[in-house]
Amino acid sequence: MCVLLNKQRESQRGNAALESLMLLVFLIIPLWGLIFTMGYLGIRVQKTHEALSLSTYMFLLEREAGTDNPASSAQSTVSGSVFEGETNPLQVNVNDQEAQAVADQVPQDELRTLQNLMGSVSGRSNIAVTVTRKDPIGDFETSPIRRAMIIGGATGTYCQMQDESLNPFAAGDIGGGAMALVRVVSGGSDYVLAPFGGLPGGDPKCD
Amino acid sequence: MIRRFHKDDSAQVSFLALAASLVLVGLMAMIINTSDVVRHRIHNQEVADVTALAAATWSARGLNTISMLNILNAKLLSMTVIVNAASRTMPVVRGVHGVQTGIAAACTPFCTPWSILLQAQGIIIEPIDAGVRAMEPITRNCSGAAWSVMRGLQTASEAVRQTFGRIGYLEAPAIAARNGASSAFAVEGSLLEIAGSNLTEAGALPVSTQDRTPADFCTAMKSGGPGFVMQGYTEGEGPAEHGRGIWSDLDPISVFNPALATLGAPWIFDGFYSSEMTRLGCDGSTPEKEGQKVEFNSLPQCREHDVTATWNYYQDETDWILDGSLTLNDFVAWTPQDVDLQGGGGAIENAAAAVGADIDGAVPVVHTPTGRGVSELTGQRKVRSRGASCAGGGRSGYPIVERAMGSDIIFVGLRSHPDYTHFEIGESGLHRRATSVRSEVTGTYFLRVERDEREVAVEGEGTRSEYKYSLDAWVLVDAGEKVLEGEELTEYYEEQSGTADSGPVDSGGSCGSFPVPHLLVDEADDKLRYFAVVNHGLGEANQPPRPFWSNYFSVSPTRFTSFSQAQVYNDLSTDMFTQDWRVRLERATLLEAALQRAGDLGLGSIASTASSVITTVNNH
Repeated sequence: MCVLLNKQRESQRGNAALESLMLLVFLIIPLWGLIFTMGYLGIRVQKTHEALSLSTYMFLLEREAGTDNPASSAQSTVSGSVFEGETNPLQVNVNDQEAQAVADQVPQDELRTLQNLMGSVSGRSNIAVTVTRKDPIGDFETSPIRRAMIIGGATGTYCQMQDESLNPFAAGDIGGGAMALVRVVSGGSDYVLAPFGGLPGGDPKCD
Repeated sequence: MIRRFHKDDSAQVSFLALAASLVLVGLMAMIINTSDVVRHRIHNQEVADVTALAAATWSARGLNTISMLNILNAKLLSMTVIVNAASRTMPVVRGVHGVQTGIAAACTPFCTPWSILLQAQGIIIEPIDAGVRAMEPITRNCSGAAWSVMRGLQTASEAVRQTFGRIGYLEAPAIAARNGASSAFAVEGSLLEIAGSNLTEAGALPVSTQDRTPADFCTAMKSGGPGFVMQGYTEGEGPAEHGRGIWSDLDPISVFNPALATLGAPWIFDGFYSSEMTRLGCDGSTPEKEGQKVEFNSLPQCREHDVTATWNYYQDETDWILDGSLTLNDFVAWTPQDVDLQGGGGAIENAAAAVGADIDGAVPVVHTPTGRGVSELTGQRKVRSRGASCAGGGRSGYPIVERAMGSDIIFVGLRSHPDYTHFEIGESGLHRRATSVRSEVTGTYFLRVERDEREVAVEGEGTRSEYKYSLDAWVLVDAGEKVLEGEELTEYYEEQSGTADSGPVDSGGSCGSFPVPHLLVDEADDKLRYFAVVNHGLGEANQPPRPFWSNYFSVSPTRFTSFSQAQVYNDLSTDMFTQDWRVRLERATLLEAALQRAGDLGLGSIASTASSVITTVNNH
């Protein structure tokens, strides 16, 4: 009787172990894996937001300083500080003319012109930060996380106005005309006034 | 049965595992949902940041634009100084050259080398003289095109001052909406000062021309500053000083180069340059505001200041002519300024026009003798001048002139004299006849035409009629002058320009208003800070997509309010000649400071409630 009871208990223990093993393999491990993955995703998302904030701010600074290609400069700075040492760091893309992206989908010339004009006047920029990283387990495909922010126009510092690629008036059909006007007023007058002190002798200090 | 149930421990692990799994699933969903909420909250804060920056950006853009216009005006003003100095220099240099040429000719052949040098100098002087004379009309004080451009740029600066900050108020919520916010607004820091805020200046940039003088350009013109250094000028050198160097430095490439040194050109130029700078108040003296003599150009001003207007009386006549159909209008012609003057008569009209052309603000109209009768006039002459007191108010300021009434002569006021017709300078320079609207400005004149007729015997034709026309004209040549002081002077210039400026610094006061720069006001700090509040609701339109399970959780809060503060700054130099105004985020202190002020004003309960709200929504 005692032996029979012991065998039955051993059998139950075996069943419980098997059940536990099955639960562990098919339920608990995947669940925890999912939680870790989601947590990791959350970290990536927050990192992306952090990268977006920093990119926006760095882009503003670089643009005001008149740096050539401020998006690239902001990308290298932020990438190095937020995703330091990563082999697949973030990308920062800036579309200086927010309206241009919309206009590209609309073929009508008139609408395009109008949108270019509005984009020129507002000078808004669309900053898009894309983070692509492989998950640590390696079981998931790389999934880029993209966050975008539309920011206000340029402040029009002297150095900024010197660089046509940073000038809010520079892009678009009418924007080009407006840029020409600005150049006539601010730059052309220098040449007219040159013999009377208008045109300085040195280079602009826009390092 | 219960005992047996207690003894039965089969599948206990499965049950516990299932329960634990459910808890795990729930926890996982909560974690994901909380992460989602946090993500939205982070996004909302980012939107608040760019909203505050967007509002500040328009202010920075406005300040940069005004700085650019101030710099341009400093350059133009420098140009007028250089050209005016050069135009005063050239006659002296030519005189010296002429004297030296005479002496050299007298001592020939001993002075032959000197003569050759003087000939070479003459060749150099000619094009310089021609160039200066070509520029001089542009830079002539007050009336030159350069001065009109400077005043135009100052007006443009004022327009920027009034509008750019307000556009920022509109741009901020638009940016927030484009980034998914439900609602947003931005205000400048000065509006959070509660009782101390000036609502009339809300949205206007913190710059002003109040109490500014042309002398405020002097430092920029002479010494430049960081803004000029940034634009390529040498440190410590502004455009005027730079231009002076181009003209008078003993440098081979300067205009008055060493080749002209024997004529004294560089030193003569330096003298006149200093004189021009002194005239602007750049010698350190404050331009005199008090006791300026002002010439008035309208009878209302004449009446307001109780002075005496001056009228000139002219007479003219034609020869005996055959045309008997001429009327008063044939003796008046008004044409636009860009029509070339024709020769001939019309001197009365020209006299009136010349007066009008000298008046700042009046449209200079050139009168051309296109009228048939004008070309017949033989030669007018000024008979007399007569003063007309404006002290009586109302219709005063018109002379009392005689009128024939049968055999009697009576005296009546010119304005109501039935024999005279009233003419005025046209507002746009177009042809204009007598009007019912009396603008009463200098150049106003009254005409009377009388016709005599005679019969003349002509051989073979019997008789014919001949006519002689006599013209009488009264022209308002000035509306009086007076030395104005204090408030009276300030009010006069406010009326003239619409703003309170110092008025002209040179004597005479005929200029109306010199350009003055827009400079920062004393308490600009709070106006250069922008506070943005952004509201964002979960599940609303224009929001980033949310996972489907979010619908099964109601995580509080479902709405977020974030705030942010941005500052407009100029690290290079906080002045309006440095086009380097930028924006940055800073610690949000404005609202807390406002609550502190509210507490000080006895609004303790409101401040306490608001403070608790801030604590709740403060994401910083």
